[in-house]
Amino acid sequence: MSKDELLKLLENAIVMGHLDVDDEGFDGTMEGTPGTLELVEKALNEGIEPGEILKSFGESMEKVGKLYESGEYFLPDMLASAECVGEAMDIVEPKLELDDSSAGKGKFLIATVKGDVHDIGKNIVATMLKGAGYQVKDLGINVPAEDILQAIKEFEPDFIGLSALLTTTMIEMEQVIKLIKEEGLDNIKVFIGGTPTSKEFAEKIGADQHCRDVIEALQALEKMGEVS
Amino acid sequence: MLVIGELINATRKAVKEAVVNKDAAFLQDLARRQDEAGAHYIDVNVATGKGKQEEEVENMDWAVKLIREVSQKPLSIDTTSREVLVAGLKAHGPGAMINSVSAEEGRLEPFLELAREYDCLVIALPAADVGIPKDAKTRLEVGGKILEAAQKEGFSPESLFFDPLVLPLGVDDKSGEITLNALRLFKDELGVKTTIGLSNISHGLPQRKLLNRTFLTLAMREGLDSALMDPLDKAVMSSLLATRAFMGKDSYCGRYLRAYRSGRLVT
Repeated sequence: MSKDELLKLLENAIVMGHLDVDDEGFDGTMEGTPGTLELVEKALNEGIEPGEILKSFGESMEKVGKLYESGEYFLPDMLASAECVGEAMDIVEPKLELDDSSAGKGKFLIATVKGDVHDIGKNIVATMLKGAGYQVKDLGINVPAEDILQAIKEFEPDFIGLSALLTTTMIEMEQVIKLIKEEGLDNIKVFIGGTPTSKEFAEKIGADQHCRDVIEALQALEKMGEVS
Repeated sequence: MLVIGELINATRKAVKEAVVNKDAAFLQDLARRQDEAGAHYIDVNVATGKGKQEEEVENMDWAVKLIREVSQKPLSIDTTSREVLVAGLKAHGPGAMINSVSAEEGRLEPFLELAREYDCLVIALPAADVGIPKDAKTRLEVGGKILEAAQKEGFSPESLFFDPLVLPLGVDDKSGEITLNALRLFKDELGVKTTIGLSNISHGLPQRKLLNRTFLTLAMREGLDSALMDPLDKAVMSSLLATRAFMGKDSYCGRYLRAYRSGRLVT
């Protein structure tokens, strides 16, 4: 099998949410055929560069995103694919040379703001962004602005994602943005999301991007990547 | 089974627009229809997401007053903000429901005090500052703490409805099972009344009404006493009546047959 054929198979396995040989995949017919994990091992054994494998993860998730957007895929379909990438990443990551990290698309720091304990949406975004090739650091829930600032200094992200599900906690986002600006860290792009948030609100508090869902986040990230 | 009508919620686009544009007729119509369809309580959530609390306080006062003009049904004041809650309770008068208290900072004792002052039923969520517990047992523990705090405040367990938390099946394929187990635990271990936000279960999946009504049936069998749900969905209301009858809670199938005779049952 040529390198291109192998990567194509891998891409298909991810899109189909086909984790391993025992998994039946999106269409229910794939049990018994090599899944994402077997194909990743094979690709590494055949000497394909880890960076190149990572790139195929990103392309696969982009396809999954489009299928979700068109309504063909539902949330669980998308999460099955993200799980494939997440587990495959555990195999590929140790093999990455340090300078291969340039193959990544940027660093993304994510947190649910203080006072808010909701994490479903934030977790989906974190998982999907990882799958799409971003280096993601997840600070968890109920994170005070000061802790976010501290993490920014340590992790040096290109992007920050703030999540809140309550009208009473989304105002905390404004505090975080204020702190970031006070520290002169204006080059970091701030994304916000969560049911009660809106474009209008993002503008009001000075966030760079409001995202209705993870697909909007991915699209906005791609656009910003093209510009820079 | 107490039905809490869920439709007046500003996270729904049409309701948000109605609140922003102060469209009283729209909200009154939605309240009246839920009332007529058999809701016992009507939930009111006016969080439009603009991030201004004074506005939300005003909106709650406005919405509660105008809904009370067209419906005798008590309202469920749905907010996480104490100020908004006070506005709702003042406009309503005694006998409302509070949706909701939790074990999070500032959302237990201050809310319970209001519940006593305004003689309210209370929905209790087992969420804590460390998050929403993933498993049924930890939810029970947090629920136990809320119950303890409430009893210390002199509440009878009868006025509390514990929500074991429903997370979307589409996000975690075990979440239905976890909620059903938690419901059973709340019943067996704490002996309290229970409620759920039914529609959460189907978020992100197709044919949501099928999932909602199937889950309602399963949950009722595990001891559900109340649900925040769509009373205008005739199929789910029909399932509710059928399930009640199967559980031996409908003397001579009276409610089921009355619903049939008035044309409210659908298959």
